[in-house]
Amino acid sequence: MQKDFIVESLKKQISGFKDETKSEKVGRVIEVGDGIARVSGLSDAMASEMLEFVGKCEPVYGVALNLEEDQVGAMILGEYEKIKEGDTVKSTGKILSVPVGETIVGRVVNPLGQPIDGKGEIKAEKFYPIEKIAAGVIERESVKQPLQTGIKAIDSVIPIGRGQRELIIGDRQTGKTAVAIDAIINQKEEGVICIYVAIGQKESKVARIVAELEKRDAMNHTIVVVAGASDPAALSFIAPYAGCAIGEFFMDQGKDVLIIYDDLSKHAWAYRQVSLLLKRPPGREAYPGDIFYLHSRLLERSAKIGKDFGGGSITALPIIETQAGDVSAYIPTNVISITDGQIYLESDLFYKGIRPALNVGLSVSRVGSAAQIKAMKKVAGKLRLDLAQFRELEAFAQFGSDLDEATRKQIERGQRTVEILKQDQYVPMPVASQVAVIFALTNGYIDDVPVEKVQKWEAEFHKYMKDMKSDVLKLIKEKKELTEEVEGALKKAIEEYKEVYGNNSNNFQ
Amino acid sequence: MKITSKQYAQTLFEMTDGKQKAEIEKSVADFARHMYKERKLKLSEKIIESFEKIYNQKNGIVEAEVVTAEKLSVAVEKKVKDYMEKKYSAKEVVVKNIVDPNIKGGMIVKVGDEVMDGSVAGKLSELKKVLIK
Repeated sequence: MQKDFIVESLKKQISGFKDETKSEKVGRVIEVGDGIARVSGLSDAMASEMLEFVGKCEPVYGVALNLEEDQVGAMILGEYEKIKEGDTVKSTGKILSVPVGETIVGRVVNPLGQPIDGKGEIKAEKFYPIEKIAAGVIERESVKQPLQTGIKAIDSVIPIGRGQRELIIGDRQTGKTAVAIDAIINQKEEGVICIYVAIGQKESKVARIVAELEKRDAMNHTIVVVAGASDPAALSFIAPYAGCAIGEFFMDQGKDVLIIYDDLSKHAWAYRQVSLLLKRPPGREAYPGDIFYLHSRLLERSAKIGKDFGGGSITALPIIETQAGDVSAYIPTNVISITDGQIYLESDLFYKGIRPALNVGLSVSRVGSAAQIKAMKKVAGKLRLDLAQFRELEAFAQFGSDLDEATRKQIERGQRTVEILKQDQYVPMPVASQVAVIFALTNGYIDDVPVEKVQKWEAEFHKYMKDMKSDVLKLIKEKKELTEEVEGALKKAIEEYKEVYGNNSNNFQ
Repeated sequence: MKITSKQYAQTLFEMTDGKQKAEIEKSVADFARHMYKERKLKLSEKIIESFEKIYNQKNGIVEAEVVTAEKLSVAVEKKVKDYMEKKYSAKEVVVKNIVDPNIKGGMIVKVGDEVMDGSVAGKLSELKKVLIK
């Protein structure tokens, strides 16, 4: 019985096998090295088509990049050490694409969509090409829905909308990745799918981030695409495109996606390496001529799609690492001009203890303010003014008592504003709490609290609001606007809090 | 400007095309002398290779490499030739037979960068792929 069954099923399998002799175009490797191969023949290869290198061992795949008169320049995705001169190369007829599907959420994959977290195979529903022309004018609509990062300084002063591209720029060790990770953690209840693309990052750093996301329960809505520092440059080069293709799959289903490219400087390095090895002429800083297009075509793919076309969105947070604060280098200026604003992190501020080390003066968001909820817009306007005035007067702060009353007050307010905008890592804050505390700040309720105690005051305030006045927070969240009713309730809550905690415990006087 | 070996081959072909034997000999000698003067004789191998390609293309000659497990019989060779003549609408087919027992049976035909794999070994590996799926 068992034997018959096996034989039967085998017969069925074999009957499906068509014995056909097809003619195919093949090429021969003429030169190989450093992740690049030159292949003769292959006269019908398409641009960015997958090529199969047939050797003694398992087949290795590559991508045709340079199509020349009688040879093809290809980059090799995988172990190029095993490819020898004279090996056969077949064209596959497929444009380089990644497997996508619902089950990829929560996984760690390489840029080819293969799992590297040891949790078994990923069932692909579809294949998406990694290079795709971005959505056009007709399909898009303006950015109008906020993407809450949960970071006070960003959500109030430099708001990000869904479908926006906001650059995070700063020197090494200024907390660029931390901002991005906080934004991912905050999407837990927002229904936004997050994709973290690590380009040329240390594997240890990626492992730490994945562990942190798992610990914060944020891996369930996150996909991590990793091209490690030891992977070939070709993988680093395709990683952001692969991440974007995965994002597009979810966007096409009408979902909102947040994608983080960490970081595009390393991506530019990888592309420079591949280009120079392919003997494309170098330009400024030895980058090839199409380095601008490399990033613009990637970031252009983030979009807010109109309701009639599905209504999904991709928000991109590219990260750029500057060298010694030099934002006028080639790649930073390129990416600044492509994106809709930048979040500028400074090491000086970081060492002063202002974390996130955001330079509020240099950071801008070109479209995000249209996406803020009305309540936040109202309180943030005042906050921005306070900060701007403080920056002007900051230099006089050391004269202390010699100043007139108005100036002193503004400096005091500014100092408290800076304190309030400080925030610990991994503690994103809901927008209602942000509105409440900024409301308290801009309306002078914190002016009588000593600067060094502001953070404690704030922590206690949030606890009090959450425990005792959750109805007020709920009201802000529902109305999304500071109507007289909401404002009154908020004022009352703050006054009550000040009475309870301010006077009795002597904490804040 | 740098002149490629392909361009040299093209020139040589044009110099010799449709000429008598004596003329060809003279042209080739002239060409070789010129190459010597220009110190381009090291390109000769590549030029010969390109020349063959150009000559075959212009005269409708197709060179086919046929890999078989055993030496090709005259009858089969004739069949292959007829088939290739039709397929590439060629005037003449030059068959180069290579014996490789590793392919087990059938044949592999290579023309330029086009390959038709009709070998038993190739079929078996295809079958293996289907069965693994």
